Amino acid sequence: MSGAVDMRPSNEPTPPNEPKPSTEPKPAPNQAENSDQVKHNVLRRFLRHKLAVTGFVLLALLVLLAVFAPYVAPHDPNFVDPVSMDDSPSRLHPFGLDTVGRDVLSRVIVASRISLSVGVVAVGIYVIIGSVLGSLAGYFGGVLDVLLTRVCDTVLSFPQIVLIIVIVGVIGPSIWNIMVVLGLLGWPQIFRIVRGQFLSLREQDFVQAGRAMGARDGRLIFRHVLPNSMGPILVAATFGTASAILTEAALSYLGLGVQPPQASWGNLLIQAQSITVIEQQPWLWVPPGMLIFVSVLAINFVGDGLRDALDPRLKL
Amino acid sequence: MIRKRSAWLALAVALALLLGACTSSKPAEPKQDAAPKPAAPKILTVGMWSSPDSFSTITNKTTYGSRVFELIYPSLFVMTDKLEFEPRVAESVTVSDKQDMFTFKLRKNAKWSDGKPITADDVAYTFQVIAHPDTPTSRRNLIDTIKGLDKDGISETKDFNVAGIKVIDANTIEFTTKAPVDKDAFMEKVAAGIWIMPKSVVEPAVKANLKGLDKADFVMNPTVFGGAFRLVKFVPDQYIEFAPNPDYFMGKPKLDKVFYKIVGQATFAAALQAGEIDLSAGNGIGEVPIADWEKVSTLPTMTPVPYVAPAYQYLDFNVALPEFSNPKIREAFAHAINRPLIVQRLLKGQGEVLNSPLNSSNKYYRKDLQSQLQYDKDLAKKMLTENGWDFNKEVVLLTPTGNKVREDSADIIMANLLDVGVKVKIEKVEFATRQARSKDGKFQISLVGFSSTFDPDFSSQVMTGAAFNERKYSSAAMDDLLSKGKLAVKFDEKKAIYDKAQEQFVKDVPYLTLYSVNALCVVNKRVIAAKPGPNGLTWNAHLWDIKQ
Amino acid sequence: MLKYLLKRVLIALPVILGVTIIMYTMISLMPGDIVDLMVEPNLSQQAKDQRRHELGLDRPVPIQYARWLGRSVQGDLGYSFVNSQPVSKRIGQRVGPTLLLSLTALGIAYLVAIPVGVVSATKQYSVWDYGSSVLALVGVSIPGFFLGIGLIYIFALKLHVLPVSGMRSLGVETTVDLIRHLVMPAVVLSVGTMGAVTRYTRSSMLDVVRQDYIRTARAKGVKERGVVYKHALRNALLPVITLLGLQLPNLLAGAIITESVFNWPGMGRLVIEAISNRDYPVLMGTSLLTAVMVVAGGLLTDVLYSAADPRIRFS
Repeated sequence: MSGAVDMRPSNEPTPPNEPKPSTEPKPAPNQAENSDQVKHNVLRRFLRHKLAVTGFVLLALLVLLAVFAPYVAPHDPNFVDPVSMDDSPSRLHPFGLDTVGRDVLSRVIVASRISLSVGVVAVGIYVIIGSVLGSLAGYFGGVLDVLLTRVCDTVLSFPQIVLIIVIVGVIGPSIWNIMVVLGLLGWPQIFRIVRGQFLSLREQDFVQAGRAMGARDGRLIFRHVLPNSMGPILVAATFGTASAILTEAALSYLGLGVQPPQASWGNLLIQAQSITVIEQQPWLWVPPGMLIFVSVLAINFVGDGLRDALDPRLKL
Repeated sequence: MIRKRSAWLALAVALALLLGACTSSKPAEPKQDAAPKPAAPKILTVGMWSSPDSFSTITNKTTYGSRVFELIYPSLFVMTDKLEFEPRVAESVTVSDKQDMFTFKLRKNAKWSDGKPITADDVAYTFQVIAHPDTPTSRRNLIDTIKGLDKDGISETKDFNVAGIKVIDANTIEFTTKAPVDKDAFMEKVAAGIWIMPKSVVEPAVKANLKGLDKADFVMNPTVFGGAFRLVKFVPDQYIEFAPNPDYFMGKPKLDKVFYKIVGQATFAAALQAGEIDLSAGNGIGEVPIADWEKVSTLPTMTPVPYVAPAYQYLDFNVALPEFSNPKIREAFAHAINRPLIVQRLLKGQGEVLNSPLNSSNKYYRKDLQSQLQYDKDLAKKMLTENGWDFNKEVVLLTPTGNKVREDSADIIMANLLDVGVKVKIEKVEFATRQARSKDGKFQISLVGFSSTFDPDFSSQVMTGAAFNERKYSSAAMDDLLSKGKLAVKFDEKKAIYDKAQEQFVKDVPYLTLYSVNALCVVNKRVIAAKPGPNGLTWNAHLWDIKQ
Repeated sequence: MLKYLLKRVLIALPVILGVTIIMYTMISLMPGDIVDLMVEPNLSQQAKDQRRHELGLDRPVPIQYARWLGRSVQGDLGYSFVNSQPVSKRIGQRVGPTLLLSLTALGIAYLVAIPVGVVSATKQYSVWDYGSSVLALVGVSIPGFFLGIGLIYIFALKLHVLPVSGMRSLGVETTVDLIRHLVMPAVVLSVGTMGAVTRYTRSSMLDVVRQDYIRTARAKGVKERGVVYKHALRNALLPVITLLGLQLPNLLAGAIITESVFNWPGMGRLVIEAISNRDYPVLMGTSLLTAVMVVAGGLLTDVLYSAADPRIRFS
């Protein structure tokens, strides 16, 4: 499946046209012009990554679907059909009816709002917390590092799913609660990756060089070190988004997902707990399953493309 | 500086993890399968959702435990699948004319597995320990009709003395009740509801630490048995293995082994289909999920044995709140909710709509009342309007998790109520949370289930101030009927009272009984005699067999 | 080194203390208790109060916690509210099966993922790369319970090659039987990790192979294989090790769903039951154990870091 999208000239790990010498991060004389150019290059490289573009288009479509869900859905997703006992797909209900008697297609469409926002909001919260704290700890080291690492260790020392279940037990299951809990508990992952990256980058030549040349700390972090960590953060964030969507599904399986009659893809997929449904009623689980899969795939390809595009080593 | 050793670190780590995994598996596997196999041993495997909490008939807390200890300990009588009483360690019972004295004659040949006879002393001791205030037990509500016990089933003298239990001789025991009782209710709760434990085993533990009796050795590792089977091995969350008790007083069981295999709901149907389990343990502890019922019950290897159990689901109203204090409003809700739809759609027809706490498994059930409280949304709307329902008010439907059908029913109920203009919001919470909220009266309407005995008495749910009347319903007429019902001892007299009580229930709708779902059980066709029924599975364990 | 380890352990103590305090508080805030759940509903209020008193539930939360802590320090984790068995025994019964499952899954994941990730990175944009990327993504995007039931359907019901669930066939104690039961849950549990590790390894390798010292090595004429395996891989493993460290807490209670689907007799199911039954002693016991394991895992991560990157030194 890759031949067609293979737009790179070589299979070599480093592109042969890689131009930069090792002392690359010299302060550029013209800041504004340079940053515009960087943005332009990032965009150009991203657009060359066909899988990423495909992913982006898919994702955009899903987001559009989510935004306009109420207008797209053919039926009221919560309307219980009191008459029809036949659940199988029909012209009126292309994906059939669920066990309660509601239109599955409409529910799947409306569920996209919930599922996508769980992923985005939760990961958004923890990427911000994790990157900021991780950068601070990894770059400055010392007391700050020790302190933040302790906090991180404490959060990490809980069995995550257990803590989520307990917190949800206290504050009650609702989609907002789940987003916030996932966001507040997920940051150590980013924190440790960023900090780990810093530990190895801090000693590297170009950072040392920058420091020796009198670059200010904040500048160093944001101009040179953070972009270097961007790859792992992005990969983590994409996987994080995926896993937040899946965690919501897992919580649904345990009965702690969204509040009914709301639907999320995970919540719709738990219909597939039954062997009979898997075997005889694919219309109940294939659509939400495919949407989870496609959205995760799309998010990951976008992350992949961004990663390549943002890589400072490939800059210019 | 860069060495090969560290370059392969990752693989080493991974390998170490894998090896660690392999070694950790070893200690648990003595190689026993080389033992010579006897010709086709007869093995029966029962599927159950969860592990038993204990094998002690006194301190047990869950149905998973009680349905299993029935195999290894004897009771005076058992309740058959036809809900009749059959003698076990007692060979007969004599009831006094006033129905306040029950004399049981024990079998002379009944022996514990350590060779000691099963005597009236063992029987009395089991009851006395349960009655002692320090004993950690939840079985006192079964015996609280016996003389010398308070309303909680605790000895009035706060010790082992129970005035109403008298050992006449080694093979005769006599129970006296506080007042005349319904014979069937007494037999169900006392004779067929308490399983006898060997005094020789229990007494030392009682003397050592009564308050910690639930931690005694015999609780998890019973060694002396009096039932049809003896416990061989219990592997928590995996299986329980039983072997026949050769000295069983009803004759040596025909099977060579019985397993209770722990199988979760998600794979229960698959395990039946794959032949890993032969039958389902029964109502509430091991059933085929409704979604898989059609498939499993039509498997060529299986015989479906669905039955009506004394259990039902209901919609609770917080009657203490002004908006639900009016019975007409509650009745309007009953008309608004399409209960037949719930039974058809969610239960796939495997259940019945219910208008009172007594369902068709109960002999006091009034079928004719089923014509009441029909689904009629126009009538519901009219009644709501006439009785001043505030259509701007939002009602929160508290729904506990853990029962898929019940959770789905909340969606239908919500849609139905919206249909008549009642604004509803579902609040799904953990079961324990629901219990706490209900207890504290912090709810408007709520879904939950209830299971009872075959005795028709439902006073604990609706009598003024009763322990389980969390909705704070109170009606002088109902209180009067149910108090009389408790004292009634003859069927006809009792029937007349509970007929009226059910009418009163339908009129008042203290809570709306929604439906009663059939216990969805199956038995493999190779199994003989074993069949889950309304009162469990184990009553004829000694007759269970496998077709060769 | 030893001094460093000792210091780390001392630092870890407040972390563990913090974890238990937070956990106890959270658990106490959960509505409902065992008495309402377990005891016969007909029991009078007086009898229920008595039961609460026996379990210590009538005391203020800080005092309950202090009592728990006092006993735990002496090695007594208390008794399960549900079946009155010692918590240590209940946990002990389940640690073995859980570690067997989760370590096997982790082993499978890393054994497959690291080589695949490396090949993906060295042959970036090749068929290999795309193929493994897509597979990795398929892996991480399937909900565990769904994959589990799907596998059961295919391998147990249709092909009849593997047992439906459980850890052993009834009464059978052979290793082969154990492995047959282990295959599906271990695969289900490893798939997500495998995808993540593949991606991390690939991403990390890509970063590293563009670093100067790799170019230097190449320029010096080191053979490509040597560049990849000797020079690049070990640097690329740093983030992967971080990931391994992050997965340690999940070894004990992370397999809740997999264990439920496959009826694996592990800690995950114990924890779930403990939460729904408000079985505080069991819940606290497992939390404590996990916290201790995580701290140990953190130490291990640091040690591995220093082994992989000699520039990191303990101070």
